[in-house]
Amino acid sequence: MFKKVLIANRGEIAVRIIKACHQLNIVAVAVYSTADRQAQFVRLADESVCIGPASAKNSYLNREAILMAGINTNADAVHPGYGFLSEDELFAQMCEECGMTWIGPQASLIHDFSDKTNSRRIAKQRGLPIIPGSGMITSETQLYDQANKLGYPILLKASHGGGGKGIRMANSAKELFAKYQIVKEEADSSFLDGSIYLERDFEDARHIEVQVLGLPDKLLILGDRDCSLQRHRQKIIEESNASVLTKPERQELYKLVHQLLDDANYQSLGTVEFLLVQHQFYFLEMNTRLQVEHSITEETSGVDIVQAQIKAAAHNSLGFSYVTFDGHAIECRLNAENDLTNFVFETGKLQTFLMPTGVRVDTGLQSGDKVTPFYDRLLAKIIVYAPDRDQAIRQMQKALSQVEVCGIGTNLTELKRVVASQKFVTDQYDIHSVGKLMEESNHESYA
Amino acid sequence: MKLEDLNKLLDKLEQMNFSEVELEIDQTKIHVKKGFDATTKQMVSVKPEQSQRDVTSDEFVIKSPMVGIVHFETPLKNGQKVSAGDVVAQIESMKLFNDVTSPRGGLIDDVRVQDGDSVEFDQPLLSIKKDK
Repeated sequence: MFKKVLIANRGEIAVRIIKACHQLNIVAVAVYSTADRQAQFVRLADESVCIGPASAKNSYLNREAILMAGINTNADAVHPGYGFLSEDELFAQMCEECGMTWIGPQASLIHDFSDKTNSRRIAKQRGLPIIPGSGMITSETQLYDQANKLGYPILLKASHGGGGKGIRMANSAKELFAKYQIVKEEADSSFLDGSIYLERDFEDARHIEVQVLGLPDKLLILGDRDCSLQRHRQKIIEESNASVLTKPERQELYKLVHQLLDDANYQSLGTVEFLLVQHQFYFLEMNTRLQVEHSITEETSGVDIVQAQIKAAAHNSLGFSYVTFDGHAIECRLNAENDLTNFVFETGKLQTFLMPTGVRVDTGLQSGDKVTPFYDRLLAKIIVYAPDRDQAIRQMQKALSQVEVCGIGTNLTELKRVVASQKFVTDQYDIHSVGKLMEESNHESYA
Repeated sequence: MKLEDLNKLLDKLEQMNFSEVELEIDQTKIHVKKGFDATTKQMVSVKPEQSQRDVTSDEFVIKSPMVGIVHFETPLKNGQKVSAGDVVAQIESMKLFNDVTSPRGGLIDDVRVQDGDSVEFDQPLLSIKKDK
């Protein structure tokens, strides 16, 4: 097992990984920017190294600085968390070259499966249905040609995008170029790679994903999730397992995942994402890393996913060879964005930060902490687990009623509205439901 | 920094969306905190944060511009004279050596790291005292 792991991330996920390290008796090294000097994850880590100024580009995306921090502290592995450099094949390769194990799939697999244009091509080759879309867009003429071919509305997606960044919808050719430039800019600054492709937008679909852990001899499926409740393409509420699936649908889904990965020798944690449109699965993309919403799968599978990921990277035995599922889990993402002012990112001091008791809350923050404008908006993940979906919903409603945040605006009202809505309670929602629900309730409040 | 420049800066800062900010321009540190009450004009307090010692003795600290390993080509001695632009140390990062230069002349006052030490970003390396 590793002796010392460097965590190339911040916030709640750094806290989560530090906890997993400590449970495995691994020394945890935090790296941080000057803006995070006082952060909880820095205090929780056994060692910490300041790697740069506030801007992510010069700190959490600074490969050389993070590697030097690993070398200086004698770390033997690097956990990239999610976002930042977690799907950066060059960084994965550099870690290995510096003698540190990359806790993730090898660089060539990141190249194949994390890059969205590559993974779509591979999925197609292996017989998975894929969403109608284009290859990499390299010129303005090509942009218009491909968009006209696919029809509107259309999605522009950064090849390395994720977490709601690097994705925009265009309703017409008029909007196309402006949206293209926005996505390109976001992709350049957030993912250090500006490549973009197009995809048809489905009106009425559900986002279903499968959590996998590749081992030397087999591919373990740790469960599935329904992540259809999104705003601006960013997941806000997730469920495990996806209760909308029938037994044959779930079998079909897992079969597609095996079809994609069985011959790939994929040895790490990953998520394969699909859209479910009228009982048909379309391959969307794959994430070759730990995901924000891994926590709900931990609840229903009983597997500590972060520990399992670290053990797999160290070629240690997991201590189990199959997974069973029990109960239902729901996660709500509490974000620093005011649902009363069109979801502007709010920053400042958390004067009050009261989280519900008796349920799982993953956060890197506490009362008195500051939310800075440099990174993401996630304040906390509120996770409930109950024997069935109805009880889980009631638990979540109760948990949300206990949340109190003062100092900055949050999306708490939105979360409460969605969780109380008929569509959610009856499990009849799709990827556009959050936007529609918020529009409806805004009209009601004006009436 | 001139008072006029400071006023201009504050006007600019007032329009921006933040509650608190720390800036370092030349050798002046500025700490600005905005009041939370939106109904009154936003409170702006300015407090030059250069430490007492720095102000009186005209001393300043050279910090590491990156994570790495510090190297001194020749050992630095307290009281040693340096000119603006002189290389005072090198930081090794990924086998590349990056020069750290002194932004102004003076006497080396306090070397806080040793040759071969690992350093983090922003870590004080040494201070320079004005040559009287």
